[in-house]
Amino acid sequence: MIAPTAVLSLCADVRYRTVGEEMVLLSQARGEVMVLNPVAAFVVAAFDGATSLAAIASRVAEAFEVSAEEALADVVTFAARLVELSVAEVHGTDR
Amino acid sequence: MTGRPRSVGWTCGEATSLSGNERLSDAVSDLSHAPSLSRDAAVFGASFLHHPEHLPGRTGSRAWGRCRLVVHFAGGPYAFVGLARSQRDAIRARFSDYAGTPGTTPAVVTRVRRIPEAAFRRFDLAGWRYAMEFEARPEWVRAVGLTFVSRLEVGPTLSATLWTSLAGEGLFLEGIENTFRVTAAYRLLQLGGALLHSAAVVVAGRAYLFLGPSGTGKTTIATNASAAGFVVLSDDMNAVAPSREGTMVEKLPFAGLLGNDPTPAQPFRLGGVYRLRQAPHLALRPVGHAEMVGYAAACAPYLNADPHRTPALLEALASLLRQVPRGVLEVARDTPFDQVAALLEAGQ
Repeated sequence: MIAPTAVLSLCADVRYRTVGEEMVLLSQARGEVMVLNPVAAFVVAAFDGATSLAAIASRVAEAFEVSAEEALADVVTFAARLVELSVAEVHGTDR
Repeated sequence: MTGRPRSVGWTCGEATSLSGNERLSDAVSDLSHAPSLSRDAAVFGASFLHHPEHLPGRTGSRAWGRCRLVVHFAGGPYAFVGLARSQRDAIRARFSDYAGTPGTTPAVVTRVRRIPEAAFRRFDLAGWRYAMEFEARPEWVRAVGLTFVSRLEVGPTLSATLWTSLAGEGLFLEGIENTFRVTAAYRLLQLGGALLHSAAVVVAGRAYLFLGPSGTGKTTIATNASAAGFVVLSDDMNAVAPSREGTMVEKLPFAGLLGNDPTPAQPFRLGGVYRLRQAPHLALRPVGHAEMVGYAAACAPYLNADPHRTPALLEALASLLRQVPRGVLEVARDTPFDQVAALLEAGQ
């Protein structure tokens, strides 16, 4: 489980491009292409190596009009999946 | 025999449909899954060379001869220099439909150089599908296969060197074709286009591209189309590039199982791009722009494994596929192509 204070960045082999509101993402080490929906694209675009998942979740809650609790749960779950897929890595912790 | 090269490469996989309302945990649509081209060998070239650390550099080995040949297809003309006469004749015979005009300025020049046969490891390839090693750097890309090493300098202009141990016999053309594929992919990207693993069929003057991993029916649909009297460009690789008339598709001399049809090498306007999916009934499902860009990226060999060119590839694909009809084509293996053509034309 990833803590809400975790700060993520995309792995070095990952390249992406925003297409409309979605995102096409290539993980070259895994040889995979993925497409992220607008909410996921919003989250990944915020993986700047400085912003915590909690802060990203706050932005998601505001931008997509969902509750803060729901946004945080979804962002953390999604982030964990990206780490599991070697698309993103925990860069540090926002203390 | 000391080992066998491993089969590696990108493939397109199944995608899940994405709507905007899914939970984040369901938001990732995995379009492809395959090992990368570069992670298998600890030392680049080790799968094929006894001493990969001695990979030939940019220069420093002898040309095979003084012959020159120009071949013209999408993104070309492409010139080969330093050929032995036997090599020139072999290339000329293989690409007879693509003879270039002597004296034209080539877009890419490939210098052909010698490398000792003893440099390569020997394999028993019976029953194996062979795939070369490929590596990309900001300034160049290189490839190694059973009997060749190639390097493409990637800058404002492209230039290539092919080291081969063969004078034109046996697997000589394997090195030529592999070098050609890589060169064509990078040249097309320079032009804002892409080389795509696909089948292309001409319907009412427009080329329709069918993307999909092995086994989803590219060759089958191309075979059915050919049997019904439609022009098939290639069932394996096609060039897509922008032009004043719109996005164009051009046949490349890299046919798959269908073989090299004597079909026209002229460009055709892109009629649509479709992901193939085997299904009992013919149907066309909508696909969003981003998802189709993802499918196409998974079908863009070499460049999708090149981190230095991936952003440009995605940019090109997003532009090429922005305003063309697209979708998932569900089709049975025995669906007559006339029915497919009617469905595609109705979608225009």
